[in-house]
Amino acid sequence: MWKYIVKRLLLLIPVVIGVTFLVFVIINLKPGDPGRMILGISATQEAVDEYNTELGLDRPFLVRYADYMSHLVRGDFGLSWYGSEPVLPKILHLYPATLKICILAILFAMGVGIPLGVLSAVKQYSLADRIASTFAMILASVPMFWLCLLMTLLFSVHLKLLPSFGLTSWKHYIMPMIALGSNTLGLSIRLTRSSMLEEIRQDYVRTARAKGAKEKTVIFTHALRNSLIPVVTACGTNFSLLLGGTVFVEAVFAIPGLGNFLITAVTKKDIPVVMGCVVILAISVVIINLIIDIVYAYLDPRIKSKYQGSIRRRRRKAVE
Amino acid sequence: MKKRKLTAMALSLILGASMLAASPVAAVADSGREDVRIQFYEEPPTADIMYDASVSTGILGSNLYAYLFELDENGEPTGALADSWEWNDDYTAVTVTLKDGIKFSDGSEITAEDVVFSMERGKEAGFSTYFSYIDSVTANGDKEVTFTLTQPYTVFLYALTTCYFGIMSKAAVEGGMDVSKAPNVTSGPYYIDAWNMGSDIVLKANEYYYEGEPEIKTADLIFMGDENTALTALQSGDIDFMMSVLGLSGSAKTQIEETEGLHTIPFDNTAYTFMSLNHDVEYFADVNVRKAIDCAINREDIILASVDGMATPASIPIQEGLGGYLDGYEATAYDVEKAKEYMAESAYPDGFSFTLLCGTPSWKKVGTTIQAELAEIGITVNIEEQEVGTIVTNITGGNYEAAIISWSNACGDVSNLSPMYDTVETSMNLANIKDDTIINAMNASSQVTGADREPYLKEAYDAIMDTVPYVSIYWPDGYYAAADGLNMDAPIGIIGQFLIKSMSWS
Repeated sequence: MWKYIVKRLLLLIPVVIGVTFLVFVIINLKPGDPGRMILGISATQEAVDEYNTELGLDRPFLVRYADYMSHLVRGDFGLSWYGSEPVLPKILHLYPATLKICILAILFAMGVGIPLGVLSAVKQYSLADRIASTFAMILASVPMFWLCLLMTLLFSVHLKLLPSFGLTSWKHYIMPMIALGSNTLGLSIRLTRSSMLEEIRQDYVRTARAKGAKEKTVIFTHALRNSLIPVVTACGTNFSLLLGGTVFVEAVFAIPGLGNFLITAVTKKDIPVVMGCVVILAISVVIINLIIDIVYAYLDPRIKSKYQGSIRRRRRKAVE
Repeated sequence: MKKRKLTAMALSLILGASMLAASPVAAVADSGREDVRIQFYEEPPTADIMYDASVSTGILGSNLYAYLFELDENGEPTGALADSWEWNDDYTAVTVTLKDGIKFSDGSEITAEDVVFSMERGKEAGFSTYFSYIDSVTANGDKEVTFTLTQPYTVFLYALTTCYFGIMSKAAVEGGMDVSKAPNVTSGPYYIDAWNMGSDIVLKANEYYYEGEPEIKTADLIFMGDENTALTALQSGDIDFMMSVLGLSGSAKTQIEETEGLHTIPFDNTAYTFMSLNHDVEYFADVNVRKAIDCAINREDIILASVDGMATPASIPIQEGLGGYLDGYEATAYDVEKAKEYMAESAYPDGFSFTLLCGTPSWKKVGTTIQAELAEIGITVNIEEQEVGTIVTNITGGNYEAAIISWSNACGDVSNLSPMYDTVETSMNLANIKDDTIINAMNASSQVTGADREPYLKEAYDAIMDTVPYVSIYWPDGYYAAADGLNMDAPIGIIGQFLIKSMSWS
């Protein structure tokens, strides 16, 4: 297993190179003269040109990229072009807020979605099933911005129950968590339901029932564990999407997170900040996928034994 | 039965929520408060006013640093830290005497040495073209400073009101004070108590401020880029004031005015939107074509389409209330027939086509309206969207035919518009003015004072109105929004200035 983890972590290298190169190309194609944007509209063209030279923008694209990467491997993310602030400490300061919201959103989606999906499957065609299915369909199709606006209008402006922005108390997390997790919640209800329906019709479930196992044991110990695999896959993939989705949620709720920082940097064409944020997000996505793979092995012993089996086979071959 | 009950309950909940969403709820007005929570449209990159050109840095700096001069309610420079001042005969040097007993926020005295240090620091940074007018700054004792200029420049006092000219403590800066993130020894009404990265900046009142400690003792500048977020935060009472550089959008203003417990505060917006025409392009070298365009555009329509009606049709490049404004100049009237006559007299009676560069979404709306209106006189306009900085670069390099552009005045005097015409210090020529009459008259107006400026300015403005070197479009109106009870005295919307010290709770 450790070998597998190390192998996956090594994948980070091509992923980071690929992603950084792609983003470097795109951000450089974005119209706008950084020198002009930094020095302002009233600066002379001479001053702008001089500043661009100071930033190294007069050098060829590939040279600049190679220079950036050579600094990056030494842990130097560079300085923001606005205010000359080091990029990495600011990213590390802001990232926990983004991560917290994403984790809460996914926990909310799975924590509410899986029980509702199970209930829906176990009580198929009942009123509870219909309500849960409708609820899932609505959540999966509601645009995030609409939900954000509706929630702030209702809970902040009219009911004054929740704060409309920021992230200083537990109350501040509620609306961003719901807004960010709602689509995934809808998805997890539907996936759990369909997967559970498939599992409870399997022979091993029938056998468990025939052996006199309690219904609770049959559902939660036997069927649920196997039905969770597709749900975990979808939620894991969605976690990466949620990291991207925070850009919008952070802007709407004025959250001091990485998304807000990134969007401002893109607007200002602050290349060191954009690159720094993208590198951190790319590393996060690879690590999240790795965690999901490890969770698979825990949920489905067949995966673990398959992997261990392949190692045993290789060892045996080597001995022979 | 059970099903029907559940359905009824669900419907009632949805209906209740919708009704709540539609009904206005009063924001609670506070009195006797000494703190204010202000929406700040972006996190400033730094608090170091001399080493950054961002407007947000300038706004922050205008609350941290005191200036030798500031604009009074009539838009005229008046002594702030300066007690008196005297020009030499040819207006190439001005000697400023500092007020007695002026102090930094740590209680130390503000001396001439601090002024010299600040000016030299600003000149070294070179972020403002105004520093290029300063040849040298010398301290004559503790209380007197002489600015020697590179040329006669009477509007230099206006320059000294701009955000780059704040007075810093030499001892604090040289002693290692973090000027960029935590300047706690300042000369202005506030100092930074805390800078919470990505979230907000907390300002505390300076008890030693030369005008006395401000009424607002604590100001929390909360970073909030989205206008809708700020609007809901204001409506929910989570913030007290909405601040943006150019003011509220039309829809936000309407919502504020319809919400009980909130009000708008108008301010003199110093922005000026115009259409720059490249005279090296054959059509625009023809004065009749330029006059035809000037008459063919309906400024009222453009204002309605692009800024929800919140602007005034523009004539000369400076609006009422600012230095250099003269009465008697009206925006050119919309007259299609007259425009057609001008076109008939031009070398292009059958029309022509050109590309109009537009940057921001509102400029694009200006462009679209102009496109429709010029079609009536046979001119085809092709709109091309470009980033604002790119447009400026293209104008400066002469790589354009026409462009919608806006200039925001940073010092409150018409001299700040020098990048609009060809001057030695900037050579930007955003409005592509090449007429020596205009350039010489504008330059001459900044070398005399008071009423002596008028003839020169009149000469320049007359030439602008007669020859239409560029097309004036509008001066936008500016509005802030605040909770009831929070007032702000006579705010002047000089770009890079927003004074919290002029706020108070009633």
